[in-house]
Amino acid sequence: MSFKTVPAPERPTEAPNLSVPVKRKRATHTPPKKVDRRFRKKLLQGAIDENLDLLADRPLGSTTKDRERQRRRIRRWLFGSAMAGLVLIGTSIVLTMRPTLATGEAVPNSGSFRLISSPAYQIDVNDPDPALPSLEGAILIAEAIPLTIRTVVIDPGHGGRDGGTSLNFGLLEKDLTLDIGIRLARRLEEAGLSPILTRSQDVEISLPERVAVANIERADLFISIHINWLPDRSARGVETYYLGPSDDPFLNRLAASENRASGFTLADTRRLLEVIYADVRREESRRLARSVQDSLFEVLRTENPDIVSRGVMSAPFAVLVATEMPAILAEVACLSNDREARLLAIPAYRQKIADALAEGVFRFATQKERNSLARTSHRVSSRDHKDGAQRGFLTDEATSRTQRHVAGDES
Amino acid sequence: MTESKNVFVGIDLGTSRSSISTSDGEHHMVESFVGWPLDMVARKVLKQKVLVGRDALENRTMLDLHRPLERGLLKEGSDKDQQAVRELVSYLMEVSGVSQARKGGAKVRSVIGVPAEALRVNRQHLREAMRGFVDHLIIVSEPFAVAYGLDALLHALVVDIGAGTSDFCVMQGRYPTDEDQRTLPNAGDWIDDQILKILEETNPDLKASIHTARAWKEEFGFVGHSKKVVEVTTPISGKPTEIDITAALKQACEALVPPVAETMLDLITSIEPEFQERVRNNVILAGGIAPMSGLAQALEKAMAPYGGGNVQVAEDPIFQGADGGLALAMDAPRSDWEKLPA
Repeated sequence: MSFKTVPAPERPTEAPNLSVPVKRKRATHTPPKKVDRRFRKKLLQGAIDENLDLLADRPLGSTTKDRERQRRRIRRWLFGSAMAGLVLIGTSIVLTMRPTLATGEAVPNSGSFRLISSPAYQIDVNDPDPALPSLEGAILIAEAIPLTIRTVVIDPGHGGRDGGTSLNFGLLEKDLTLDIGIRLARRLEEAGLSPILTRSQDVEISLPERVAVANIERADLFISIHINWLPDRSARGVETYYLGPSDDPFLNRLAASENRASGFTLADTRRLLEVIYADVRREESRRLARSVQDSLFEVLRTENPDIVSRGVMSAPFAVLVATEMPAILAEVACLSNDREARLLAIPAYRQKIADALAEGVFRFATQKERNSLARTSHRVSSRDHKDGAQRGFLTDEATSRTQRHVAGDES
Repeated sequence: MTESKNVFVGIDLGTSRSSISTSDGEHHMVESFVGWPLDMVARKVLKQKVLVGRDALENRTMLDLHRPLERGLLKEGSDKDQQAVRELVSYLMEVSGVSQARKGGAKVRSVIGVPAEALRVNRQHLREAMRGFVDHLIIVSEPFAVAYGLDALLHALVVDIGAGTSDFCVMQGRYPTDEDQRTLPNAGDWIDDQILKILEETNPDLKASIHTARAWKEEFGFVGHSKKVVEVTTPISGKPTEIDITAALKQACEALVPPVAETMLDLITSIEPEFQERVRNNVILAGGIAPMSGLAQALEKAMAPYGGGNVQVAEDPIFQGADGGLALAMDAPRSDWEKLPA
């Protein structure tokens, strides 16, 4: 039988006296290099996950399972997105070529008039008022389906190494947004909704991951929470964004700063924007933004009488680009303003912000449901009463107008 | 702004001995005993508020003596034991210079090993006990720390025999789960008990303490054949008497082999058959009992009917847990450390 032994320390000739601790000076430990570092890292991750579970008082193995689930979801979502992108590009090529085939002239790819492809319809995006697009047909399509709000993805901005804006005395945007996000999640849960947080700890999450959470969970709404920092330290207030173009250099700079870690290439962003600007989701997002903004202003005014409603604005934030549901980004306070910074340090004020955001969601959901019900009742009445037929017909007419628009018949 | 220095620390809090290895190259060991003077007289004689290690053991008659890590775990619900662990850790931090570094602004990031089957509550007690000494803490299973330190991460079986427990961990290239690990109460302390029981049976008037039995085991313990007779002098009916303890030592030490071998084989047979041979040939013996004469050979012999195997005694088995902890601490990404405050 083979027997091999690694040299063992010399055996003591008498009982070891350990009254003085054994002290050895050795070179600083260097990890062995025989095993692949990635392999060691994987094993180490298991130990770290177990400790995170212990700290969070969760069953051991939960973090590892969550991590694996998240990885699988992101892989699936990325695969789906890639496939969708291919289909989209293919469709765009076909649509771009179609007029060329018909008229023999190429439709300019940019300019005053451009056709954007979408799975459901095509519209002119060169709208005179980009903030309030004329999407009558699209609105009717969206509201013809009486959907309720169930799943809301809450995205506390920043996290981990990305602290966001901060103040010298230790208030960090990432901590404030997480606190408000958790409070909002509780509030929505109490109301019977299913909130999902993109992060529940101080961890760094990329923008694609945040987006993936919302898309994979098939969320009904997406709310990204941020705290503003304005060059004018006396400025204060709340503002809410939805996806759209902006001519304001400050807003473009703000969006660029928030988009830094997005991981989306320029081409990705442009392709997504082309579809989404024309999407019905944009109008839904604008309504959600309006509802949340009004609610923030009304609720917070009781605690913060000098608060200013800085309005509902559109800006090309990457986190709003790739989400597939009505999505907004709320700047719920200004950390650059001393008075608001002091208020943000008070838990009760942060609860107020969460309550206001929740109220905005409830209002949006109620309004949406009311519109849907009203439309349903119109349709019922149009069938039951001849004098209501006109309104029912209008809906159908609007729909068919949209369809004609899609087919390119309408002048 | 300059970033504060990080000091990485691996700690093995053992039932019998505790050791520390630091990224500054410090390695220290102390016996896991802590004692407080019983009264004013003891305080005057000892001139210290608390004694740690061998000092505490040697002056135990004047002390409220604690061995806080029962079977390698912090005793549940005992404030005194929690305090004793803190004294022990404080001592290790002082002698290794970690406390001074921390006072100087360094962040201390520590990995501590616990028995493979330590419960959640034990880990939480340990976490509480470490508060104030380290800034960030990771608790891992002791045999995993040993395996990591030795780079025995694939197709290996680590058997860590300490004073309180024997811990087993089969490494299959993943973080070990409950199925990959076992803990036995049969370890060094158990051998000490066996030695005393056997000697008291043959010499009913023999009065020897568990500490004496431990010293005999550490000096003369063996498995298999001994070339020399072991004779010690100990009081019997108050009279110093020379007695032959060879047979008692052999019997007590060999009693450890069957449960350890059985657990090893149980773990090996639980893995996929095609990897069993590789694991049998890659058994690593660590812990304070590992260097015991003849133990590795006896375990190889026990594996012979199952296809044989190879048992290696880890170099420096006493520090292997702390060194493994240090390796883990140094490899853990900074972002993960930030999530694990002490």
